[in-house]
Order: sequence, then C-alpha cells, then structure tokens
Amino acid sequence: MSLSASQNRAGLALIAPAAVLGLLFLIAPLASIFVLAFTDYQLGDRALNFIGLENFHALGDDPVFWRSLSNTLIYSAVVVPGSVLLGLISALLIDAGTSLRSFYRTAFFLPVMASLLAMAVVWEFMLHPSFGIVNAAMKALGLPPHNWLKDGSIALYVLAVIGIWQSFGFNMVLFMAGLSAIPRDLYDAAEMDGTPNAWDRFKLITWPLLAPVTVFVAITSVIRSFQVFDTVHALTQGGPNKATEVLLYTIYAEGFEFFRSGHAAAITVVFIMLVVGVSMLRFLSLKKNGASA
Amino acid sequence: MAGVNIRSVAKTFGETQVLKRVDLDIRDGEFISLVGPSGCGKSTLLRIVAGLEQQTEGHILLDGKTVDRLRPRDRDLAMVFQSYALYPHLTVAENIAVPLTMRRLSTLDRSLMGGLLPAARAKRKDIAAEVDKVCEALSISMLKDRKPAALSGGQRQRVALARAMVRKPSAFLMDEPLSNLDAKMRVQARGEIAALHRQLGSTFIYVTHDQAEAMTMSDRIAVMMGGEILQLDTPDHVYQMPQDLRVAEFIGSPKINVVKAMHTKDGVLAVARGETPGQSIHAAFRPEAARLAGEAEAPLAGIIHHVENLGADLFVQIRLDGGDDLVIVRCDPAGVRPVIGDRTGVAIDHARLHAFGPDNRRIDGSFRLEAAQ
Repeated sequence: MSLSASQNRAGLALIAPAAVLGLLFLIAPLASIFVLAFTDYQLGDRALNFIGLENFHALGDDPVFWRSLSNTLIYSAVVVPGSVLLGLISALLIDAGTSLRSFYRTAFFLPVMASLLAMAVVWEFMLHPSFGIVNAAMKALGLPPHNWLKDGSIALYVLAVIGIWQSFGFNMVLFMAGLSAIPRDLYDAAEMDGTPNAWDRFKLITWPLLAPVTVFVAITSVIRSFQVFDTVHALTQGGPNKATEVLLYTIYAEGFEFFRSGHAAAITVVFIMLVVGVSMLRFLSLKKNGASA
Repeated sequence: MAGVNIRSVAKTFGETQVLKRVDLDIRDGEFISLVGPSGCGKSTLLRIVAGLEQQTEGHILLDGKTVDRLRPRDRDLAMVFQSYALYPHLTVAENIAVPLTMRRLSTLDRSLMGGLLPAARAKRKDIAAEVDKVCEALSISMLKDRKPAALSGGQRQRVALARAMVRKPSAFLMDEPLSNLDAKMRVQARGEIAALHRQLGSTFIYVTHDQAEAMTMSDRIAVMMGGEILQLDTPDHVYQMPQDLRVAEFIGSPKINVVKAMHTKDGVLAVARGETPGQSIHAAFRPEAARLAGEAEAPLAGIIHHVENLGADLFVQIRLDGGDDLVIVRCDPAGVRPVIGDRTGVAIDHARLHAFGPDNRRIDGSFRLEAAQ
C-alpha cells in the first residue's frame, strides 16, 4: 500500500515524540557508553584518547572482573530456579485455596514493592552473627551459627536467598494471571477422562498451558537477577574479599568510586551484551509460540 | 450399559437451594433430556451424576449401585462439555487418546521411560488403533494431527464426542454440546447425535436450554424449573399434555397462548375481562389449535397486530380486545392472507384446549372456552 505525501508527513509527525525521547534517553546514552568503552576517559578529564580494545584486554586480565562475572552467573543460577519454582508453587497453592487468597497474594507480593534498601537493613539485623534471629534459630535447632554476610563461602548464597525472597512474589503474580487464563472446564474434562491424581492433572493441563508464562517469567527473572545491586551495596559492598562482587556493583565501583569511566563502560558493554542475549532468547521463544498457535 | 437412578438429590450452595430433592429414573439405553431455562439446576444435576459436584442430600445409582462416594474416574461415565474442553496443546488424536492413556497406562508407562518398556509400547499401539477406529466412525480421520485451535466449531464438537466415545462408557453426559454451533450446524449435529445414540445404544443424559433439541432427540424429556422436575414424559406428551403451565410455556415455538378465564359451570371457561374476582384459571392453546374465524362464532376477538410469514406457516399475532394480550394463530399461507389492522375472531379446537389452575397445575377434563359475558 502506498501512502500519500501528507499521510507520510502525518505519520512522521506522530512518531516524532517517541523517536526524539527514545533517541535522547535510550540510544544516546547507550551510544556514549559504547564510545566510552573504547577510550581511556576518567571522570573529570578534559580530553580523552581512543585506545581501541585496550579496556577489553584489561578486563580479560582482571581477576576482579572474572570473579564478578562468575558471581553474577552463580547468583542468577540460584535465584532464577528458586524464584520461578517458589513463584509457581505459591501461585498454585493460592489458586487451589478458597480462603484468604488476597491476603496471601498481598503478603507474598509485599517484598516486590518494598524498597530493597530498607528491607536490607532488616535482613542485616536478622543475619547479625551475635544477636540476629537466624543464628538464634540455628542455635535452638542445635546447628552451628554462621557469620552469614562475612563468610566468603556462603555470603553470595545468602544474598541469593534474599534475592529469591524479594522476587518470587512478582513471578507468583504472573503465574496466577496465567493460571486464571486456563479454562476450569479442562480440569473437569481431565477428571472425567480419568486422570488419577492432581500431579497428572498438573502434567496434562497446568504445566503445558503455563509454558508461555513460564518462559516469560524465567527470562525476566534472569534479567532481573543480572541486575542485582542494592542488596550487595547495602549488606556486603562486594566483600568479603570480592566474594559477593557482582557485575553491576563492579560497574558502580569502577565508575563512581575509582572514576575509571572507560573501564566501567567496557564492563557495561559486556553486561548489556548478556542482557541482550537473554532478551533474544525471549524473542525467539515468543516467535516459536506464535508460530505454533 | 447402565441405568441411572437419581434419588431425592438436593444441592445447596451456601444459602441458595439449587436442587430440591430431585427424583429421576433413567432406563438403560435411554436418551433423556434435562431441559429448562438457565439457572434451573439442570447442569448442576448433570455434574452431580458425573461426580464433579457433590450433592448435599440424596443418592446417585449407576446400574443399581450407589456411586455417591466414587470419583468421576471410577463412575465409568463420559461427558461432553459446552466448551468441548479439548486440551489445546494436544493434537486431535492425542486428545481422543487421553481417556485411554490415563486409565490403561501406569504412571511409569506414561513417563519418559515408558517408551522403553515393551508392554507400554504395545498398550500405546492398541490405544492408537482404537483412536483410529473412533476417528473413522465420526469421519474426523483427516483431522488427527491438527490442534483444536485449527478446527471449526463443528469439528471440535466431533472431537469432543470422539473423546467421550473412545472408552465405551456406560453412559454419556452432555452439557449443552450444541450451543456453540451456528443454527445450521446445530440441526445437522442433532441428527448425528440421535443417530449415534441409536447406534451405540448407551444411556444419554443431555442437558439443554433449547426445547427444540430436547424435542427432536429424546426418548423422554425432564422439564426443570427452579430446582425441580416439573414434568418427565415423552416429547409428545410434554407437548400435548403439559402438566404445568410453565412446562406448556417453555415447550413449543411460538409459545403457547394463555388467556385468563373463569370457571363458570362444568366444563365451560369464560374469558375473563380485566381484574377478576376470585380465582382465575389459565386457558392455554397452541397456535396450531386455533384458527381465524368470524367474530360471532369465536370466543376471542381482536385486531390483527402482525403477520409473520415463515414460508411454510403464517403466524398471525392478534391483540385481544380489552387488554394488551397477544395470541398467535397459525394459518396456512395458501389460504386467504390476513390483513394487519383488520378485526378477527379466534376459534379454538377445544380438544386441544388446556386448563391450568392458579397453582399452575393442569386441571384434567375437557373444556370449552366461551366469550366473556
């Protein structure tokens, strides 16, 4: 279909606001990050030099970066399955229940809405080695206490547990929306068709019909887990001994504490690549679902 | 093969009583329709028979045995749902196979390991063969690899039937299976379901709000209203000898004509004018039991309000004198065409005149309707 010149002009005028804003707030900052990544710019410098891939070479040799990358991946590997599974289970339980549904929904969703920075203070108290409730509980159960946030071998996993606590409510809400879209008749039909138990009905109906939601939830969880920052900043500052150093925290430290903007930009580029890669997975899965439906 | 006995089944949801001690004995191999307006409890009754809903009181017997405590899986019934309830992610063949795989294959057989077990493979082969046979019978073989989303309404309805048939259940329960089809498909599907019933010889319990479906397919009709069965009878009797005014009004299209009358003397009803003192009687007659006549010889008279020409029949609406009541009279289109606005009398075939008391129950006996005095 060909458009008249005036229609073309009207069309351009209509996209203009979105295009300008997008250019200003998305494309331009992204582009400047990509440019900075190839310079030796430090915050406050009056001039900058292009140094090619030097920043990336430096990253390759930087043990902190590798530690940070692997910590982020480990964190993600714990938080994603944890928060997806917990979100699914709590959604199923609330969906199957008859009373107090909105209470549970609100209670589980609360951590999502609460400021994680404020919540981190509560966690810090709870995890305090000498007067925290967690160690008190461990003692009561006859288990050895831990210095949860200062023990390099467990600190990252403690942060991951907090991450799960914080994010599963969001997944739960998405799963509940997915569950409410499944027609009740199907469960009646499955009952008539002789499914022996609830697990078989879950396998026959719930799981396959929830698959698109699950893919969406998993991928958003991955992206959100890559973005972990506030708990690290509030509770451990990447320590002890870089045990909880994650990508976003490294970017922050490099850029705003050591003012090595070029270096920070290079890490940001790596981070963006990761997120874009995961987003591509989502795009592909959506396309596949669209084709089969 | 089984008869179904419903013994004083009641159901309450919270405060509302949906079913009031319903009794119904369905013979083995019978096609019975539960028909009534929405909210009359017919679907709830069907779901109680299926076991999807638990009755508050009473018993369900299948083949003479109480099944109150049995889950749907153990009742040996199959159900066709209004929405068809096909599993959207499974192909037609997989959908039809579900009742068999769920019953014949163990959990281990159905797991990923199952493919390695020769016994499970043999069972799957048998199931596939039975699915093929059912598909053949309903001529949906060419649809076997499609997903439900790629089927038309009529095709989905057949797949739902096939899924119900494949296990050869002792009775079929159908919950408004045709209401999602367009009018043309519905007439065709009516014939197909009736033919299926004759061929299988199983018990069919068919829930519908469409009196035409109930009339055309059933051996017997149970007309339900307000949680009770008002009348259980053959289609002929329900139509010709309604036991309750509400049954008379629900069955038949166009609706039966009802005129308020007074019982003056033995067997004579006089048309009542305006507010009547004492207890009035409802005199009812179907459009085909009346004809247009001269005012002098007819008990009713009025002005022709509208003429509906359906080709084979003319339905003439007459606004009666002294009120807003309309009566409908069927005429032969080949005869003299009535003219809108003309005055006419309505004569009634008194053999087909029904009388209902103030409590809506039928008053037996033969009556004549006479003009108001």
